[in-house]
Amino acid sequence: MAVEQRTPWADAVRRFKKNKMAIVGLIMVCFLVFVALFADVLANNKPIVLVTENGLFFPAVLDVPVYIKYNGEVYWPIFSDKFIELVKREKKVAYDDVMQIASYYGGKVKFKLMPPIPYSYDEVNLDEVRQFCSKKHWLGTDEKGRDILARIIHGSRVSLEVGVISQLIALAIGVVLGLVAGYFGGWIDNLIMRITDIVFAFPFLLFVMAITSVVRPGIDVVFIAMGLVGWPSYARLVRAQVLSVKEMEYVQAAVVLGASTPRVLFVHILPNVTAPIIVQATLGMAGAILAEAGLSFLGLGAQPPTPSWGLMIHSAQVDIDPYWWMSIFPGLAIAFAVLAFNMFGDGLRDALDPKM
Amino acid sequence: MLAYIIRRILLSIPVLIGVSLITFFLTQVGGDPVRIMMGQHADKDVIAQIRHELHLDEPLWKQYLYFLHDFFTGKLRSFKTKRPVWDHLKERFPYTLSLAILSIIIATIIGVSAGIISAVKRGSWFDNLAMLASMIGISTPVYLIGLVFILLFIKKLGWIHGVGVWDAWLEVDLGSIVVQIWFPLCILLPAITLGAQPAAFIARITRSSMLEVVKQDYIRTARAKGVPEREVVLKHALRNALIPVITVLGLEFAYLLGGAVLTETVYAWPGLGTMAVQAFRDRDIPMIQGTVLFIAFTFVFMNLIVDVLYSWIDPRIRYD
Repeated sequence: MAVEQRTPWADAVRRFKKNKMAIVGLIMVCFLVFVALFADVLANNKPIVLVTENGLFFPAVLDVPVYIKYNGEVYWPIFSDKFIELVKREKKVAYDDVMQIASYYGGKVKFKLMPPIPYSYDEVNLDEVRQFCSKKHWLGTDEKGRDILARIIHGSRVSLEVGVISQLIALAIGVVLGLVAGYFGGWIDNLIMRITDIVFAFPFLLFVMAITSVVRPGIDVVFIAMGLVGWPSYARLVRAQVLSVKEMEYVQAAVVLGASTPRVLFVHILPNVTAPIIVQATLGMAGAILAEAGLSFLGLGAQPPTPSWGLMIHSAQVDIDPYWWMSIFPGLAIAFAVLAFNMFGDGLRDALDPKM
Repeated sequence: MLAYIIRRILLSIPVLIGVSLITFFLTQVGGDPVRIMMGQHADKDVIAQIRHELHLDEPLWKQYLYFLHDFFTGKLRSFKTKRPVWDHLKERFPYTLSLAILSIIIATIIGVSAGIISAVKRGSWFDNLAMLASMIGISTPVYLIGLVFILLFIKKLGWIHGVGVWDAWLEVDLGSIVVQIWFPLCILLPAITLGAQPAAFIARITRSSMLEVVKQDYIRTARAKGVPEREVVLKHALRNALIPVITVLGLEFAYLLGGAVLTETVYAWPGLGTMAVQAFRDRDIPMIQGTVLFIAFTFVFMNLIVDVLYSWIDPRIRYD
């Protein structure tokens, strides 16, 4: 007879499943990740699949043809560079132009599958500026005639990237410093905690703004700046957990058995502080997405033509009346993403830490 | 109590020094401030003169001391306007302060009452709705709320005549006479917008704090004694439940005092936030230094007050 397992993680999963808000949050997060992963296939001015007399292409995702007939010979450019070399030599062109030449030699189109939104995020069309929602452009177009839905879809990538990378940087710094502070105590602990106090003394957005404006506005600087400013919350969290765990017998036992300090820290202590870190990282994602959008909204974050949601509002807000859709739809996208991670994170906290 | 306050003040001194150090060195990261300001093709003599004026030809530690000295004596001047940074701060701070006060009042009224009702009627439709609303409130960017308000109340309905700061006299037509009332209507939309997030946050804290308190024995005792439910909730429970709420309030207020950068930008509100953004856009290094330092100092000071208040309200808590 099977015995029901009751590990703490299984309990957490059970609690999570009961929480409707958390489940909705999880679904929203999955949706976002899906959109971000398949952005190129969901919104693109290049076809997803293109079959011609002379070849097979996946233009939306692949720069080179899968196979192509060229001067009577069949090449498989995705497996070998032969074809690319040939075209480069014959036409004296750069790699980027090979695709164009390849499609030129493609011959008559036999089959073509376009993405559901047949526009790329940076396709300017000055004949169709500031259009309201229509069958052609579901969420309208912006001041350069770019499809807003296509930009929102590609913007999900920017947001998720910012969230993940900034939290990973913050996590890496924060976890190490928190472990060190909590485990060693003494003056090291004091020093690290005073530094966290100092970083906490600056309003988050202002601090990141200061860094990006002094270094250079740009999405890559935003990643790093947010990571550098965001670590203290992880450090405090980890430190507090370490303090409560390090006196436990199993840690003492590991020390007595001669485990090295890094081993004690990372193998024996760290796994026991993962639950609060996961919660913090999820909620931190929400904060990072909101902060990036805010920075870009001020013009101090992502720079054109990056399809950042905040930047879209930045350039559209002067046109709020009557072209409201240009700023409201990206705004709703931000709210959706932040809401997703907040709901998911909240649910995780309730599930992982029933005391709270 | 006094000893605690003194200890707490002493503890914030290293933080203040650290804050000033970071502010100073942050502006060194971007390279030569004069180059940043003047561009690559400025005249060499002018650059040398400005460098001398700004003490940029001195070693870094001396520059840092000059920076502190200049900041506190009001000699730190904006590159762009040539006026002392302090003058700008003095001009802008009242706007940020009034906005912060009004929004925190709005946030407290909405947040605390929603939190209490949610806790008392736990699991009811109101509770679910309020918690969903607070979740949305926390997640919605302020500028989205701001843009929707501007679109609705200023552009479409025309109830409020524009963003920014304008004449505070409101004309009310009572038929036979027209009464002029002093009311700065222009602050209303920014204050509500800015208050939305703290309101949502306070509602959540109040609710969870109330739920924690009603489990306590003294509440059961009060009920057993036959104290009316209304009185149990408002007197016995609420008073104790408000302790964590006050901390959150204090921190939120401290945060708002730092200049609500995004809200102020949307509404063209002439506070510290827009001042900071302008300084960042202009890459006006002394303005950036002065504004960031001022905001951080305000934040540290407010935290100090919150901590002291907290230990005064709840004598059980002493951090030693």
